Amino acid sequence: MPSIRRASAVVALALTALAACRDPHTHPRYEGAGLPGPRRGGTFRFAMDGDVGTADPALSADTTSMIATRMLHECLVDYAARGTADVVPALAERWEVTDEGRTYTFHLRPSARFGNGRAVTSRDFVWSWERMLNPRRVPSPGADNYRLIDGYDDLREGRAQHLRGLTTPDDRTLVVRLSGPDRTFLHALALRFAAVVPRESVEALGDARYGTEGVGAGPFLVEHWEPGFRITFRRNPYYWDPERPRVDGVIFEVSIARHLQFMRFLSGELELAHNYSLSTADYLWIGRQTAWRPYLQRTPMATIGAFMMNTEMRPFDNVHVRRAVTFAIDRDALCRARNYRIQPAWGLLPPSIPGHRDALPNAQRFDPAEARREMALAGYPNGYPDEVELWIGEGEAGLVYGQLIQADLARIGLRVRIKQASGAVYYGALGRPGTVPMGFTGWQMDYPDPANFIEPSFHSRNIQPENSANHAFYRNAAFDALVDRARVEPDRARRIAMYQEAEQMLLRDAPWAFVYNAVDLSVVQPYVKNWVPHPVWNYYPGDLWLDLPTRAWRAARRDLAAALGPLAHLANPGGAP
Amino acid sequence: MIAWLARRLAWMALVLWLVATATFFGALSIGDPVQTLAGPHATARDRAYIRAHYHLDRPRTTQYAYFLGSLARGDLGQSFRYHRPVTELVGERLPRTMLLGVMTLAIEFVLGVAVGTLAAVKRRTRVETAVLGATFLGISLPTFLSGKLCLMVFAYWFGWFPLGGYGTTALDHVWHGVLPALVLGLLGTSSEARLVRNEMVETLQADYVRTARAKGASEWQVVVHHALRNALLPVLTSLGLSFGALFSGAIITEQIFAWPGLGRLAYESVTGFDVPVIMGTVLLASTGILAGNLVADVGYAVLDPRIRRA
Amino acid sequence: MDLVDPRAVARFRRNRGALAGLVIVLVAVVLSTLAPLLAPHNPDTPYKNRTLTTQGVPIGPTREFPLGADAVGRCELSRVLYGGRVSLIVAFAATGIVVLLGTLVGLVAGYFGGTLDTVLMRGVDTLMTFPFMLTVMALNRVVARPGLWVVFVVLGALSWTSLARQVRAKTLQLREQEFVLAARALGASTPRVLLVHVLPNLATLIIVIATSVVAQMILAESALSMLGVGVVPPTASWGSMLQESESLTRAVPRLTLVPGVAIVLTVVGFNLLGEGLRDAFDPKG
Repeated sequence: MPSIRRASAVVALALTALAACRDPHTHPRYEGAGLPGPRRGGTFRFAMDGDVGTADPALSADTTSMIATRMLHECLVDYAARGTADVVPALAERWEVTDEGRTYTFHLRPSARFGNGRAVTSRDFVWSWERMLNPRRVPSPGADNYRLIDGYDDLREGRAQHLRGLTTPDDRTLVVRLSGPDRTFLHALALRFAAVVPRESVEALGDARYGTEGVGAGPFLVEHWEPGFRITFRRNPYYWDPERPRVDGVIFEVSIARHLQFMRFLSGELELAHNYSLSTADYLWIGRQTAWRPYLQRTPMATIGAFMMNTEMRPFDNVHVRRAVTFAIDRDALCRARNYRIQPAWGLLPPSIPGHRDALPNAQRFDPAEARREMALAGYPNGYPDEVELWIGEGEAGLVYGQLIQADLARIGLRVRIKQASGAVYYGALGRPGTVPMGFTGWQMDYPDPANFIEPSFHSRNIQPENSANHAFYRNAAFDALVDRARVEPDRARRIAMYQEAEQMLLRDAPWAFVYNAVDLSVVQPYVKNWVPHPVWNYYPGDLWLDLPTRAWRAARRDLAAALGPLAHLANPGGAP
Repeated sequence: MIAWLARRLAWMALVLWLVATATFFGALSIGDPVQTLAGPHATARDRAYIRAHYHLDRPRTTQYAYFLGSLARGDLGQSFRYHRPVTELVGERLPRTMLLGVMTLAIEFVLGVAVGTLAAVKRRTRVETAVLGATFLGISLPTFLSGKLCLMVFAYWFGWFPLGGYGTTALDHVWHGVLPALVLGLLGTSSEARLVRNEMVETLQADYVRTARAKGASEWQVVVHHALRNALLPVLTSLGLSFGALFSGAIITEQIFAWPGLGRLAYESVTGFDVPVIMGTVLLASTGILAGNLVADVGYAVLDPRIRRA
Repeated sequence: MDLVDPRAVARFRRNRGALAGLVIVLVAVVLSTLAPLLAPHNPDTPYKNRTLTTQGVPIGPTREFPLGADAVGRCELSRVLYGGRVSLIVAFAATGIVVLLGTLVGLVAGYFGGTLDTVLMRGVDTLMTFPFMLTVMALNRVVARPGLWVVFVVLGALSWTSLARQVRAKTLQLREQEFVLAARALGASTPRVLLVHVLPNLATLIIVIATSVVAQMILAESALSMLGVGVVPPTASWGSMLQESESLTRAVPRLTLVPGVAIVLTVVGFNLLGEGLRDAFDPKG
C-alpha cells in the first residue's frame, strides 16, 4: 500500500520538522536606545481577542470596549496611575463637598477641551449625563450608579426632561445635589459612564455612529476605526494634561486569537503581551527565556476569587457546613497549580483596597481538622450523604480550581459534582434563587472602595427573582444596617472601620470561601518604559513612553535567518542565535 | 426556462422565510441577550430598562411581527453589541469574506485541475499514486489542524507569511489571505483533483479522443482541447456549489488567522447572543447557499442541453 | 439475491488501500473499546506532583506517562485512548441517526412520490440551506445541560439530507425494476415490498455513504470542540484535547500533534474504507 506508506512518511517528516525547529524568538527583536527620561513619540501596539462593541461611554461595559472608552473619554475625576486608590482631579481641578455630603461643587479646569478644540463647559456635563440617564435614548447599563442625584427617578421614568439635581452657576462650575449623602459618589463620577461628550458631535453623527467615530475629551482621538480588526488612535492635542500621553499613537488590534497575539508580540509586532494573551504555557515559557525574563511583570490585582455557597440551599443553609468548606480548601496548592498566576486570599478585601489588613483577625485558613470538626457540628461527622453540584464557568482556570476543590472537599466528606456552563448561562443561573448550591465566583471591582466589594455581593437588597448580584443569597439585617451606615459616614477612618467590621461578619457567616487574588501578568518589549498596569483601568497606555527602539544586531542576524527559512536551520543546526 | 426560473425564485423566497422564522425563535432561546448587553455588574433596574429598550420584554410573537415588518423593508435591525445597523456590519465584512472565498476558489480551481490532469496523464505511475495519496490526506486533514500547523511553521518559524490579520492596503489584504486561502483550499483542491482525474481517465479512453489521436493530434492538444474541456463542466458545478457555502464564512479558519470576515462576526454573535446579527449572518449564508445551488443548476442547464430540468 | 456479491469481496481483498483503511478502523475501534484496560491512568485525574514540574510545566514522555502529560497534568496517552472512545461514540451515534433519518425519508419520498415526495424533498432543501457550523453551535447553546448526546443528536439531525437525496434517487430507479413490480403485482404489502425487496438493494449504497459519514462526523465533532461547544470537561475527546492544547501549540506542540494525528489517521482510515467499499460494490462509479 504505497499511498499509505507515503502518507505516513509525510506525517513523520512533518513531526521531525516540528521537533527540529527551535523557537526563533527566544530574544527580543528590538532593544531600547537607552535614552534618558520620558520622551514623546512612537506608536504603541497591543491586541485583544474580543472586539470593541462601542466606545460610547454611556454604553460600553465589557472589558475590551472599556479599554477603548477609557482612551477616548474623560471624567471630572480619575485615579492616579500608581499608589493610592484615591480619587484625583481630572477635568475638574478641585471640588467642595457641603451640606453633610449632599452637595458637590466642581470647578472645571480652564484647559479642559474636547478633541475638536472646543472648551468643556459645565453645561456639557449636564447634557452628557441627561443623555446617559435617559433610557429612551441610550440604554446605559451603568445608570444606577447615579440614582442618588436629585431628580434621577423623574428623569428615568420620563416625568422630567432634565435632571433637577444639576445646576450650572457658570460655564466652569457644576453643582450636583444628591437626595441623600453617599461617600462613594466621587467613585461613580470616575466611571466612564459619567464622561463628558460634546453635544455637537453626538448630534451630527447620531447615537449609533458616535460610538465609533465620535470625539471625547480623553487623551486619545480615533484616527481610523477599521471594524472588526483594528482601531488606530492618535494623541488628542487638546488634552488637559500637557505631559500626557507620551506616545503619538496607539494601534489597538481586536479579535486577535490569543495564540496569535503572543506570536506577534514575540516577533516584534506588538509592544505588549498582557494577562489575556499570556496562556499559562506561554507565561512559563517566557519566564525561562533569560533574554525576556526582565520584561515580565507581576502586579497583584484588586480582585477576589471565591467559591460561593448558596445560603438558601442544602447543605449550605447550615453555617457549619459553610465554615467547614472555608477550612477545607488548600489555597496554596491551588496557587501552585495555577503557576502562581494568583495569590492566596483569606478575607474579602484585597491588598491595595482601603480596609485591607495583612493580619486579618479570624481570617479563613486551611485547617482540615477544624473543617471536620465543623462538619461534625453541622451533624455530618461521617460526611454529607448527597452529592452537591459545584458550578464553574468556561475557561481553563475554573476547571483547574473546580477539580482541586473537589478533591479537598471529598476529604471532609462533601462529595461535589462539577458542572461547567458557558458564560451567560452561568451568570444567569448564579443569579436565580435555588439554582446553584455552590459556584466559582468572585468580584472584579468597578472602583477601588470597600463598598464596591461588600454591597453588590452581600447586601440583601441585591437579592432578586432574576439576576441577583448576591449569588449566595446572604441575608443579615445587622450586616445590611452596618453597610448602609458606612455608605454615608463622613469620617474616612470610621467608615473604613465599619467595612472591616462587616468583613468580620462575612468571615463568621461564611457565605463565600475566599480563595485568591489575581495577579496581572504582562510582558513588554524592552523599549517600553514606565509600563505600570493601572490599578483601575486595563491596559491604559496614557503614562508609558517609548525609548525609540533600535534593531539589535542579533535581531538583524535572526531576520536574515528567517528570510533564509529552513536553509538557515540546516546550515546552523545546533547554534544559538 | 423562464417559468422554471420563476418557480425556483418563489421557492427560494419561501425557504428563506422558513429559515428566518426558525432562526428567529432559535436565536431568542439561545440565551438572554440582556446578560451580555448589561455586563455582569448592572443592577436589576438597569437591566429592565435595557430589556424594554430592545423590546425584549414583549411577547415573542410581537417581536416576530416587528422583525418581519422591518425585514420586508430590508432592515435587519440594530446589533445589540455594536449598536449599529446589521446591514452595515454585514456589509463591511462581506467583501473580506468574498476576497478570501475567491482566492480559495482560484486555488482550488488552478491547483485541482493541474494536479488532477497530471494524475490522469501519468496514469499507473508513481506520480498518480503520490497525487492520490496526497489528495486523500487533503480530504482527511481538518482545517483547524492544517491551519494551526501552517501558521506555526510558515508564519511563525520561517516568517514567510504574516502572522494572521488582514493588512492595510488592497495588495496587503491579498498577501494576508494567501495562507488562510491555501489552508481552506486544501480540501477543495483535493476533491477537485480527484474529480478531474476521474473524468479525464474516462474521456481519454473515449472514442473521439482516440479518433483525435489517430488523426495525429499532439498529446498536449488531446489533453487540453478534448479531455480537459470535457472534465471542466463537473468541476465548475462543484465550485459553484462550494461558492455558496463560502458566504457563511470559514468560521474556524477566520478564527485561527484572525481574518475579520463574516465567520468571525457570526461566531461572535452566537457566543454573545447578538440576535439581530445572528439573523443577518444566517440569512446571508442561506441566500448564498441557495444562490450557489441556483447558479450550479442554471449552469448545468445552459452548458449541457441533455440535463434540462423537467 | 445475495446481500454480498462474492466478486465484490474479491475486489475489496485486492484493494490494498481499502484493506489498510479496514485495519486502521479496526485498530481505532479496538483501542478505544479497550481503553479501560489499556490506559495506564485515569484520564481525568491530574497527577500534578509527578507530571508537572515545580513551575507547572507538563513533563514529556516517560516510562510511567508514555506520551507525557497535558497542561493540567493528566496522562496524555490515557486521554487519547478515552478521547477516541468519545469521538468514535459520537461519530457512530451521529451516523446512526443519519442512516435512520436519511434512509427513511429517502425511501418514503422515492417510493411513494407525488405530494409526499415534494414536501419531504423541500424540507430537505430547507434544512440544507442552514449554515451547518452556525446552526450546530447555536443548537448546542440552546440546551441548558450540554452533554455527549446533544453533540451527536445535533450533528446527526443536520447531516442526513445528502444521504436522503441519494437513497431517494436509487429508490426511484428500483421502483421501476421488474422484481419490485412483480412483487407488487403478486400482492405483497407495501411494507413488505419496501423492507424485503427495496431496502436490501439500498444496503450497499447506505453502507458506503455511512462509512464516509463517520469520517465527516469525527471531523465535525472535533471542529465543534475547537469552538468550545463539544463535550463537557473534564471528559476527553480528540476535539476537546485539541481545544485544550490551543494556547500550548507554540510551547508544547506534542499536545496538539497527539490528538491531531489520531484524528487524521482515523479519518484517513474511514475514507479509505469507504472508497474501497465503493470500488468493490460499484466498480464503474
